[in-house]
Amino acid sequence: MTELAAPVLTAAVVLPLAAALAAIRVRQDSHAQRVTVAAIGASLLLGVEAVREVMSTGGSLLPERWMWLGWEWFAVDGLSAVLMVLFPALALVTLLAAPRRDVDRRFLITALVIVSGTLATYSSQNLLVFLAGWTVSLLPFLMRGRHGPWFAISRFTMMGSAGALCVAITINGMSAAGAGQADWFSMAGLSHGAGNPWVFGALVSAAVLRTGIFPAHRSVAASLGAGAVLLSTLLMNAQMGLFLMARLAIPLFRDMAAEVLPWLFGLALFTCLYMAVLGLAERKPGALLATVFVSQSAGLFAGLLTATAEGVTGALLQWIVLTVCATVLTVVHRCLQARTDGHAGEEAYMGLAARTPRFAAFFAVSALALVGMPGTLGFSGEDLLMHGALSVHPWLGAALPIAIALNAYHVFRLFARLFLGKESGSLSSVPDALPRERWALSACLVALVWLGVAPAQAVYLRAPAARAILGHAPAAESHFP
Amino acid sequence: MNFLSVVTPELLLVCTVLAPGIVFLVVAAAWLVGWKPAEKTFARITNGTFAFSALMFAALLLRMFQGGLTSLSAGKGNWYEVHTFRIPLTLFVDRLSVPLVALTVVLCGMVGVFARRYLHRDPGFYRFFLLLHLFAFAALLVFTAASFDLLIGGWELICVTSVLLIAFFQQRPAPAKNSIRVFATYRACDVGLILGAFLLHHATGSTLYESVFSGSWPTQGSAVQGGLATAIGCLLLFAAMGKSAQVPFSGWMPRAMEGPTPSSAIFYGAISVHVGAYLLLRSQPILAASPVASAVVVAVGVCSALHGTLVARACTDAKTSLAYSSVSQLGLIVAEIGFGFSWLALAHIAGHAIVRTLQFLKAPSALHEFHGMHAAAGGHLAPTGSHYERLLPAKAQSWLYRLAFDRGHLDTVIDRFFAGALTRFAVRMTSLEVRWAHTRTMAGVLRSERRFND
Repeated sequence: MTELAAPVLTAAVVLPLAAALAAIRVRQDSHAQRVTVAAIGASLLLGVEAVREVMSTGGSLLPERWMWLGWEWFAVDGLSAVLMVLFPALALVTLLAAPRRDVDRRFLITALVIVSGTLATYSSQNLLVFLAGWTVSLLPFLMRGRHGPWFAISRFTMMGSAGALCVAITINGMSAAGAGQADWFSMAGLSHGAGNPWVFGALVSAAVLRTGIFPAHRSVAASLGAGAVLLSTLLMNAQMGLFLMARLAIPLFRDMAAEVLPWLFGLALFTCLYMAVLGLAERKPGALLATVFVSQSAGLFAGLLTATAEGVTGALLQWIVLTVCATVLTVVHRCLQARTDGHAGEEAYMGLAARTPRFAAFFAVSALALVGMPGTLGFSGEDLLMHGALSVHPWLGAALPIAIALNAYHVFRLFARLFLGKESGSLSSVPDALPRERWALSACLVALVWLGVAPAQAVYLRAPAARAILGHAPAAESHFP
Repeated sequence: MNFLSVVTPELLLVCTVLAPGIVFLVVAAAWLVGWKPAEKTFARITNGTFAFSALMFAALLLRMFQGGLTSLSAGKGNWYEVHTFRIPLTLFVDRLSVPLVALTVVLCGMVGVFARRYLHRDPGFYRFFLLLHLFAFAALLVFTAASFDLLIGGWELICVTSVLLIAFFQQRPAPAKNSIRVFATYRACDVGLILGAFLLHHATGSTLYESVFSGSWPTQGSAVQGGLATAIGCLLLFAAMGKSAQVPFSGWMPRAMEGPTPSSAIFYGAISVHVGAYLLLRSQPILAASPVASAVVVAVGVCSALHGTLVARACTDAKTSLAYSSVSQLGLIVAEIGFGFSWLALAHIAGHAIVRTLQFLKAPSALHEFHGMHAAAGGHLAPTGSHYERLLPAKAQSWLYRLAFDRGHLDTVIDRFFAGALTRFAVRMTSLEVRWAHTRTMAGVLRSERRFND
């Protein structure tokens, strides 16, 4: 099989967009919600079909047979296939478990736009589609109201990332035109700019700004902690910066990457540790979670840049863990906020475990999985990530286990503040997880534990992507004595 | 098919270790979707689980005895494998792990029987028993792991169950605060184990005991020598210092007493605190290959023993006093390991675990028993240890008392010069960043933002 049998990728991208248009026309929120769930569910099933086809070919790149305007628009490979399932699945969990007061038509339309844009980026075979998906997924974030100077700076950072990507594609298009190429915007055609340091620099800048690598760390954390946190987390779960590095910057700029990656690796590790230290000063639960997420994302970024089998595979596994855990943690925190009128975690100790033991269990397991608890996929992911980082540079790499230990302290501190301590009298009527919340969140935990007990399955799923990145990545120079 | 040929020693070992883990997973999953067993049912499940594990292990020992085996490996293949990096899923028992596995199974079972009545109608009854199963699985995994990588898995699960049981009485803020403190200490020291395992992997290509050590315990040789052995030995010691409450990390031990008495007994009297000593015993050949590392181990052990005995004498409650007595005994065990007395250290671990479990379980009725003894002695029970005190001048006595009363100032030093300094740095950097966000540098951004919004 050399191409997809049906236009599953086009359908997976277009369905949520069509549903967003339909949701604008629908008058009742409940109807809009049904449309949204159906569209994202359909995208999820189409993603499963894409994974099945890709894995049957050993993870090779499968383009769609249909070529609109004579260009190849969409294709899927080992890197993007799993993400085509993971992202809609997490969007679905967010929708099903989110507090009802949050889920209005605006929320649903925003979620659909983010899903469509993200899936377009994941499956794009054309740079214009890549840029369109990148920008469309950011639109709802950019359109939101003001939330203080940090939010302004984070908006500027996100726009900067889109701008940098735009610059890269424009320069590349110009050089392709200069070289007399017909297809200026094909993904494969990016290699025309392989010798152009400006293209590479712009791509790396876009990835750094979007992931929140120093000096963009604080702005990305602020974007996660402000406004509609569920949508912000959905946006972060896309991990576009990592995807950009894995799909374009590392494979297509091999020579330049060999010079830049060690520096970028150091910067990512610094961000990981620095954000973990900054977490000590955070008291608000939302801000603390955002700090931990950015720190962990920077760890993944560093893992991807190790260019070792362990580091890259660890980063790809931890990508799954981070997104699943971020979804569960944010949903639980938001549900508790909705039940306590926004005070969850503001007081010293809230003692919610007595009233909401299941929420406590969901929070504890996913928080500890995020920092590598054995029995969950986080353990294998962190283990591989640390081996990769330490084998490239033992002194710099030692920052990673220290940062993870600090992040573990932060998430446990947050768990204690939310769920332990004396129960406040005003919280005596807070209900535990409702069945819809329980089933949606349980599915996430089952996935984490299942893949944690049998991590070979997760490694098998991510192996083609790791092979593809490593096949193109420059060999890492070990600094081990 | 012959039944005995199916029930191989390898299968018996796997059943011994996995039984509590499977029960934990099944009951936890059932609870998550709404099932809650009666206290009696859960207690019976617990008794059945540990009886099953004990039976399996007894059968395993019998088979090993019949076959003249001194060690046994179970399981083939890798848990996961990436390029040349692989984590073998192999369990292993030898003369070092047999007594510790037996202790774990028996003492966990006994504590389960005790806790059934002790925690009757307690809101956290199910939580305790769930965590007891997870802890038993984790401890068995540590003692039967055939590699340092697998050992880390059990090691970290012990950390999680330990802190969740310290926070057992969650309606009070003190257990919550103390559990955070213990978790921070554990995780900080775990970095040593992770780095030590990585160095072993780098040096020998694997963390399997059979790759790292040659021969059989206790007369093993080490594949790493010289400076690498010193580095690995010191890193593993750092990890063991956290788990076994050695100086300067002993401050978590009295804080851990916030948990219910049965958990104090099984964690801080019997099994959990000895896991650090087990790690050092297991890596004893590496320590033996480095005189520097051995000397550091002895120094840490002796300091901890002195610190423990000094502080225990100034404690005003039974459980804290027992906690510091444990620190003292653990210090002696660590010093014995540093000196290379492996058999003595193993016997010391087993004896200490049994005696301390008994003392912890009897701690709630200690006052009652003391009154009984006092009456039986005709009201003439003399305080012990006063003859040592008489040897010291009065000034030294009061100085030592102050030192013991503040528990060697260890927590104060760590708080002020390490945790406090780091937090102050974080606060300063945060305030700098916030100030930066409001400076003229970003005024342009804010202006463009305003235009964008308008």
